[in-house]
Amino acid sequence: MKDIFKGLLRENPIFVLALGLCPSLAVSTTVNNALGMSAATFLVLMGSNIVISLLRKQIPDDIHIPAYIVVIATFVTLVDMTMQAYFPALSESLGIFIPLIVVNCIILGRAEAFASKNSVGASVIDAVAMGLGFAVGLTSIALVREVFGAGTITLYPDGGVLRIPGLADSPALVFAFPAGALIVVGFLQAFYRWLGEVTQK
Amino acid sequence: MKEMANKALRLGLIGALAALLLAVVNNFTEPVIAEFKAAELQAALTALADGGTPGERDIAPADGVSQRWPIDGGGWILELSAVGYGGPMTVVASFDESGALMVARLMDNNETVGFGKKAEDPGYMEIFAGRGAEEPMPRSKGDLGADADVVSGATVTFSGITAALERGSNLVKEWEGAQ
Repeated sequence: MKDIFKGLLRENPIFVLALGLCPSLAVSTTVNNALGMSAATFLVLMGSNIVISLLRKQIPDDIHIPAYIVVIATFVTLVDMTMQAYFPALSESLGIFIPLIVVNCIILGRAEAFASKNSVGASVIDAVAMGLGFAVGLTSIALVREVFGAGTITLYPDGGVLRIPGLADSPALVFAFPAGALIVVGFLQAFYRWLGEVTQK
Repeated sequence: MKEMANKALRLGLIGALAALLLAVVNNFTEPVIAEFKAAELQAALTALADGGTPGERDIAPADGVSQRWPIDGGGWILELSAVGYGGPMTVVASFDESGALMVARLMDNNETVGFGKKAEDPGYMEIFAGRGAEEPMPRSKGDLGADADVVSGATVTFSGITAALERGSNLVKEWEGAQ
């Protein structure tokens, strides 16, 4: 149980390990994008962790990077094709960032650091922990950015948009820009680390 | 040598299994994606034709026009390329026989959220509607009068769109004149 929550605070992939910052800045403009991206990343992470853990004794050391990339790219393409077919609106708004999950450091990082050395069961727990940490991190960035930058909270496009009175008419646009994303990540990083220290005691 | 062959074999096997899996899934998703794309295109064309029926498509009929469709009731739908603040953009627009704009939509673009992206709003293109024949397309904010506020802060996006629409309107006049 403790292992599942390590991804939230102690080893949060975005705020503590500082992995996967590129998609975190790019797709965190609306909450529904962040949730979609989290789900896609989670599926890829789960698939690659399981397969790499299964194959860990079959893959010689010299070729482990190309082998991992093939496995990860396969899962990313699967997720991409499925999303295009069954969730076209989400696929359109996430665009290039879905194929780019292939080079997301969280996935390759967990394959290298964890799945290649541990059993399948432990790797599944690791994927859940890291996926959860990424989802919570990404969604909190998106929540702050969307609330201040657009004055809305988009749960699903077409009808699921909450408008915040006052902010929706005169949002602080800087939060919608990449610079705003960096500022938000900085503050949230401080917050998550503080929370980690407080809960540790 | 033997060790090398072993590694190559293992990597090849992983690749082959991955390819097989992808081929199977692609088999299921491809028709769904194609169907969805066709439906989306049809919906966009019907909205653009403004009551008419879009006909057979022509690919790349002129420079800067990637596709065009004639409208049954008269006029044309064009897919135009434009240049915005964030690079290339695609605008689809329908014109009547006189070259006046009926409906336009900004499609693919990389414009800034909160500024140029506003051109994706359905209301934005209304500042161009009906223009292109007797009333020319606006060349600058000054030509817009009270509508100038709509494009404020995103002049490059506006200039790109208006240039593309003007080119489209002129082409339509040329094609209609030739018939």
